[in-house]
Order: sequence, then structure tokens, then C-alpha cells
Amino acid sequence: MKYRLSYQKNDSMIYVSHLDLQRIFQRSFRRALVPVEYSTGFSPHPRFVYSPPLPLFVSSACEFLDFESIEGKADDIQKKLANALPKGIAINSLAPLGEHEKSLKALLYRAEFHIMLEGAANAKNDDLKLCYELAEMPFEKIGKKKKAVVTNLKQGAGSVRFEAGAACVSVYAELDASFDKLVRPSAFAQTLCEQLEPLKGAAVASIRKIGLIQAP
Amino acid sequence: MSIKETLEKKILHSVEKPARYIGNEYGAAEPKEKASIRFALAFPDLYEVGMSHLGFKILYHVLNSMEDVACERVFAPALDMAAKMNEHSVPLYSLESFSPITEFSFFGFSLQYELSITNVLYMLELSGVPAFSKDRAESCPIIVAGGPCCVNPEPIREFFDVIFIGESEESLPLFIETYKSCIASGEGRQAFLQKAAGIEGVFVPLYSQSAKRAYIKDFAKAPFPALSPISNIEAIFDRAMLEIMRGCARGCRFCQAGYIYRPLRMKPLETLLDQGREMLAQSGYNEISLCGLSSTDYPYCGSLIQAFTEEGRVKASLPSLRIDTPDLKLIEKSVSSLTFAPEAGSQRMRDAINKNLSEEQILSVAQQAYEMGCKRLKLYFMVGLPGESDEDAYAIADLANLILANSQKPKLPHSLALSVSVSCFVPKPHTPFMFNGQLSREALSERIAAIARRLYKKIKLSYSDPASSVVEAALSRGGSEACAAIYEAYKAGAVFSSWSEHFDYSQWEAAFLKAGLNLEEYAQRSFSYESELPWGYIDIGIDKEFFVSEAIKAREGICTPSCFESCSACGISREGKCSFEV
Repeated sequence: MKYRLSYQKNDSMIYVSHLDLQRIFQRSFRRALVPVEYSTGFSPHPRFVYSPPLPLFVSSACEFLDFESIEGKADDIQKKLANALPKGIAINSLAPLGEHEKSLKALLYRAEFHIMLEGAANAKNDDLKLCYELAEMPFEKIGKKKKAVVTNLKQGAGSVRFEAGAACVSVYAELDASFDKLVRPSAFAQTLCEQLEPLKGAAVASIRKIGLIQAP
Repeated sequence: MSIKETLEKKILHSVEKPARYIGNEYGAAEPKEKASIRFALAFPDLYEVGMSHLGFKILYHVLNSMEDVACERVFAPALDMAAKMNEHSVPLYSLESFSPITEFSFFGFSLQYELSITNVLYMLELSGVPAFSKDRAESCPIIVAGGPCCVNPEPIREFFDVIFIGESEESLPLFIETYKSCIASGEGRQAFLQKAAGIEGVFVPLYSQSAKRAYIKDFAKAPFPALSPISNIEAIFDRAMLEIMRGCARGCRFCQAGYIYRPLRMKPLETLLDQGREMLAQSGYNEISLCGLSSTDYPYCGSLIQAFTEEGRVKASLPSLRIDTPDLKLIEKSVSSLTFAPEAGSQRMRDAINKNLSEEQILSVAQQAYEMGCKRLKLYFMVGLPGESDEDAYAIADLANLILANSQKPKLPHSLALSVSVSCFVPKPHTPFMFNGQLSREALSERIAAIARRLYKKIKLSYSDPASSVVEAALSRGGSEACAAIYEAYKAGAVFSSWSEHFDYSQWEAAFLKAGLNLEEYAQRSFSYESELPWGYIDIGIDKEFFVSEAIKAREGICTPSCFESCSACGISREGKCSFEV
């Protein structure tokens, strides 16, 4: 039977990389005594499908893990697993996966990120909106051939909304977060601070993935 | 802003591997708010190293099992982290409750290797605790050391208030109880230290004249941590560690652990099966290591491996594999990669170090392993052993060459990738070679170079840095005058010296010079059999006469049989008869 686990990655788990997280899940399933299906071959490993890697320092309300188990009830698995996971990984839901349900690859398209920026006290919502509309969002990264490649992050972004508060500016940005295409929210936040005049000098306080955007 | 808030807001985003510094592991002890005694248990190296150490896990368990005691972990922050901590005025803190060290009653260090001592000073400075015991105020945490380096307390005596000698699973709780009663009766730091000096296995530099090492007599009932904190990032040894035996019956003359953990004690098979299963279930690890100095000497080693591996997807591993292991296949299901330690190349040297291995045994086991499907074979050797000649060093290369040549005779589909690892011998206290000085740095380098020249090009050679071995040798057999050199080295920036990228010989050389010592000469000094040794007041349970007789036998190339074959009357059996029945 296939199951889909939806979980949150909170608090100090944001300092744990995707690779380490995989180890944590493998051990947690073993501790919970939930038998899972393994791959065959020379070095068998659990047949787990994870959401695309979440960058370090980014928390999330909606991560996924698909797995197969011969164990029966989803409720039982959830209870056992909840006790075996380290603090900072909280289960949202665990349910059997129907045959016709979308795979994670098909399901995950974009996600909404809440980016908190500090140090932009005088920013106004309308200014921010206008500046963003006019701005290019060039981000330089080192490509596969070790050459610098500049990409326009706007191409990987959907709607972006600003809420300027007294001490912080909240940015709600829909960014590509699929297996094939993803925009690093930290890169997006950093580029916002560089490109938008009212955000100059601001710094990223926190980033959280708060929801999923279904593929059109 | 609390320490945790500062870490999260100001520091962790800009350091390498931030998960090292934030705790929150599965299996970590909950901070005990009502505990009257707080013990900060420290490992003077990076988180991943300290989290891999079995002794550290045992003591964490022992202390947290005590009512009224809260033990929390502390590791050495990497240099980038320490710089950030200083920038934001964050002192060294514990991982469980993010408390500054100065809030603890005790700050205890596990000293596993000599070069880690400057990291103790680094951690004391980050905590705001004076480096020297004499400078500490009444309210300061009591600074404690334990571990194998403590069998010679002299080079570290000025830094620690208390030094544990031997195994502290039983002496540590006694020590804490003594502290509790002192607190209850209103007695101060000095009164407590005076009383602590009376506990077996406890050496208080200020008050003790001598100390006898403590050890667990009923090893089957030794405290056992079924669940220890499980690192969220990969530790160096990321697996369940089941201690199947303590001590070793072999008597290799260079090996300090082989003497200071005598007598050999083994846990019953049933106990180990229960403990291993419990560990695997509670931790979720998929690998279990059967720990011991010579694990294959455990008579039911094969049964243990079979029992753990047939239940689910668990891999069993052994930290050490003797060449005279009776049945390789039983022990190692997958023999694609094996490691053996002949230690010396010539028969003469193997006899001198009491390795009790013949060349035929080595060649036949290597060939057997290869024919069983072994693709990678690693051999460990030492250079600079007492009495070693250039020819003995050449014999290392000759032996490795012969193993490779033999493997090319049968026409098997796979080839053998042979690697040779050469380390420099460091004479250690409480061994028959404690009287001998170390070979010079140049001579060690020349021997290694000679091996490299003679080895077939297909054999991969790796070797340890003779320079760091010289510092190790100077510290391991040092006297109290080495304290000043250690302090000077720390002041000159020597931290993480056991890491080759941080080790700087010139820092140590200059530091020894400042302390009025010549580093190389200090490492090379030898002691006569009659002389008073710097660590002579530590009674490890073995007679000095025995070490002298072993040193003479080494010189003459005479072997001593293992304790399984006959008692060599080392003196340990006075304390309790050695029994090797499981």
C-alpha cells in the first residue's frame, strides 16, 4: 500500500540538509517499527519519494514523503511515526495514496513562500508593488560549466505580494518549487533587497514555505 | 536576547554545518530543571567527532540516570563558529538547554588523544573559565578530565581540578554523591576536592600524591546506554555501538589500551543479544558495530553478527579484525573490502612488539581474502618501533609487494587494490615501550620515504605526519613542565591540532622552547628501567617489573603468549582473577 505523509519542517530542523533529513526519516521509520518497501539490488534502500530539497534555513508547512508499507491503518502508522520523529518535524497528515492520485512530481509545481525582511522601516506597500513591477530580478549563479549565468528570477515567480509592517516587511511570493524547476527563495529574497529601492539595506529574517500552488 | 535567539538570528546563518550547534537530537536528555547538580560533559573536538565516541555516550547515560543530576553536552565549536560567538558575545553553551558553562557545577572533558589538550584551553577560554586550576574562584565550575590520556596526569595537571584515572562509570557517581554531601553540609570547593581525592580512580592534582585506576569488575552489569542522542547530521561513526568486551588479552607491547583496560572482560552472549536488539530498536540505526579492542577474540562474535543481520536490514561491523581470525567468512559476510594490521613488516619486529603473527599467516589470510572476493585490502603498519632497523622498514614494502604479487597468480576476474597505511610509533606510558624515546622526525620521514620507494607503484601508500607524532610523543610521556608548553602552544594559536589542516609544528616547537624545552629532544628522551617515571605514582594495576621484563623480551625478540594461552603474571590478577569464560 502506498501512503503520502505531509509534514512540517520547523525550528531547529531548518539547519538540517535534505540528505541528513533522508537519514532521519529512514531511522524514524525503523524506530516506529513501520515496515517499508525496499528497492532491490546491491544496496537496497527504502522506496521513499521526497518533495524537492528544501534549502537550509527555510522552514516549511507543507513537505511530502511518499512511501510503501505493508502495515495496514494510516492512523496507526501516523501515531507510531509521530513518536519516533525528532522535534521539529510535525506530521500534518498521513493517508493512503489512491491509484489515481497524482505523483509528487505531477503535484508539485509552485509554492508560496513567506519571506520576512528586517531593516526596511519606511517601505510602503504601493511603492514596493510598483518597484517590483518595474524591476528586473537578475540573479547570478555559477552554471554547470563553472561559468557565471545570470537568470531573471521573475520568470520562475508567480504573484508576489508585500505587506509592510512597523518593523518588518512580509513578502508572499509564489515561486517555482517543482522537481525540474525551482527558484531558491533565499536568492529571490536577496535579489529583492538588492533591486527594490525601498528594501535596500534590508536583511532576511526568515523564510517559510506556507502553501502549494496547484499546476494550472 | 537569549543564547538560542542570538544563535538563530545572528550566528547560525553564517557558519558551516549549523546543525552542529543547535542540539534537538532524538534521544537527547530533556533539560532537568530541578536538578541540583549540573554537569557539562565536553568532548574537545567537533560535534561529529564527539558524537561518535562510545565512552562519551556511556557517561552521558550514567550521569543522566542519576536523580538530581542533569548532564548536558558541549563540543568544540569550529573556528568560524567561535569567531561569530566572540563577535556576538555568546559564551560556550550546552546543547540541551543553551546554558553558559559557568552555570554548571562541573565541566568534564574526555581526553582521547594528546593533541586535543589545546582544545580544552580553547573551550575554557570560550566559557570564560581560567585555564589554570590555581586561578579559579570558588564559584567556578570544577574542571574535570577523564579518558586514556589521563593515565599520565603530569602534562595536564595544572589545567584540571580533578583527573579521573581509568574507567569512571562507577567512580563518577561516587564523586557526584561526595559533592552533594559537601554542598548539603555547606563545605566549599577545597573541602570537596580534598574528599574527592580519597575516591578510587580520582586524582586531584592539588591534594593527591598517587592514584589507583578504577575499573568495572562486573562488566556484564556495566551501565549501557540503549539510546543516546542521535545526530541529525552525519557523525563520523553513525551507527549503534555495542561494547562486547573491554580489555585485550593479546599484550601487543606498543598498545596502551591493551594494558590500561586489563583485565579482559566480556559480556555474556544473551546480554549482548538483548542489548544489541534494544539499541537497534530504540535508535533506528541500520548498522551495529561490535566494539572491543580485539572483537574477533569474542568467542561468539560470529553468532552475534548472524543474529543481528538476519533480523531485518542491519549491517554488522567490526572495528578491528585480527589476521588470525578463525573463520573470515563467518565474521565478514561481505569481504569486498578488508583491513588488517600486521603492524610490522619483518618477523623480528612482529616478535618484538608481540604481535604473535607469522608471515605465512599474513600471506595466507590475504590470499584467502582475495580468493573470497576481496577487492580492496588495507594493511596498517608502524615505523619507528623500538629496535627497528632500516631493513625492518623495508620489510613492510616487501611484505605488501609479496601480497600483491601472490594475488596476481590465480586468474580471478577481479584484481586486488592494495593500500598500505604507515603511522609513526608514539611511545605511551604504561606500556613496555614507555622507557623508549621516539625516533627523530628525520629518521621517521626517511623510513617512510624508503617504504614509498620500494613499494610497487600499484600499491597506494598513506602515512601519518611524523611532525605531529613528535608532539604526541612529547605530550604522552611528558612531565609537569609540559603544561607551560601546552599553554604557550594554545596562546600561539594551536587549536584542532589533531586535524592535519590545523596542525602547525612550528607553533609547538616555539611553545616548547618558550617553556625551556626542546621539543624533539623531549620526545626522544628515554628512561632507564630504574628511573622514577613522571607517571610512576599512577597505579594502573600492572607491575613496573612486568613492563621491564616485557621491554627486555622485546629487545631479545621473545614473544609473550596471550592471556588465553597462559597467564603472564602482569600483576592485574592480584585484583581479581582473570576469567575468559563467557
